[in-house]
Amino acid sequence: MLIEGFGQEGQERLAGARVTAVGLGGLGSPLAIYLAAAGVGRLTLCDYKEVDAPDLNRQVLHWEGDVGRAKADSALEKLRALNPRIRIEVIKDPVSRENVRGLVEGSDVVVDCLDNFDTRYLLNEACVGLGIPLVHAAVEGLRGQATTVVPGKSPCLRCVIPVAPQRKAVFPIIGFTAGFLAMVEAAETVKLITGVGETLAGKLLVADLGDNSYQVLETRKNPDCPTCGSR
Amino acid sequence: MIRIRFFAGFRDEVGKAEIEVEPRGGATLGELLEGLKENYPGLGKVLEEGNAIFALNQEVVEANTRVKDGDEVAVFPPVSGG
Repeated sequence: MLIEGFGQEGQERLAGARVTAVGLGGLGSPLAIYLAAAGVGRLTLCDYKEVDAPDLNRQVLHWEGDVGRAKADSALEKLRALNPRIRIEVIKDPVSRENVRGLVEGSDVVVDCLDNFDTRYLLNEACVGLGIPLVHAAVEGLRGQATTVVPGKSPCLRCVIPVAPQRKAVFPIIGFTAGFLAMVEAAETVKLITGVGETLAGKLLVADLGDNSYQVLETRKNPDCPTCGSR
Repeated sequence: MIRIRFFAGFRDEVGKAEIEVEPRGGATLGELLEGLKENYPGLGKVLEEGNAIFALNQEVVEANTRVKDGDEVAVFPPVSGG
């Protein structure tokens, strides 16, 4: 690959890296495909749900014939076929306060592909506690946001979004919105591992594909943050 | 003047993409928005939900940040799906 500062060394760094992605839905599917294709050496993928027919518009790792199967199994099969040279593990347990640290421990980067903030805050806490970079994105309709947390250096997810958006029972997501934000997450992950480029640490990307407004805002650490305030 | 821009769902709630207001000496961003609730009832709902992201001159800030003449404020709703 001929990208400034990337080359053989960058590829080797990817091969030596372990990335944990939590969620194998609209964000997690394209993310996992691109990280597997990029040659990230070890992928740990977590999802406890089964494939449902309405998921298929955006969860591109899961196909018509996978409806009813565990997303983790469906993902594992496709990704192994895509890149048999990398190590892929799947975890089918829901993320909880009890298991979250064990789940992310040993990862070089954790990627948030979740669909709710309760679990996101658990992931954020564990990553801040263990000093592991966390890449966040979320989507709804034609909109999304993304940021990267580098513990000790940047604001954490709770500094940037201190109050969880209200949970809606059903919300529309168009496939390409999830794909767009998943690619931002893939780029952040590869940049964190290889050191190429600039990340969204200390920044929040707010994207609206409806009117093509893409804003990168500066973010600040909250000194009283319940998660990272004393760090 | 202080320019306040609303994004995404908030634009529909407020009924406007942008409002310009006269600066009031020493007012915070929250106070400024509270003062607009009467003319823009939808703004009350946006503030009540308590999860808006406020940006002042392209930097994410809290509602208790002071604003002055020439500032540009943006109000976004964060999303949570995946």
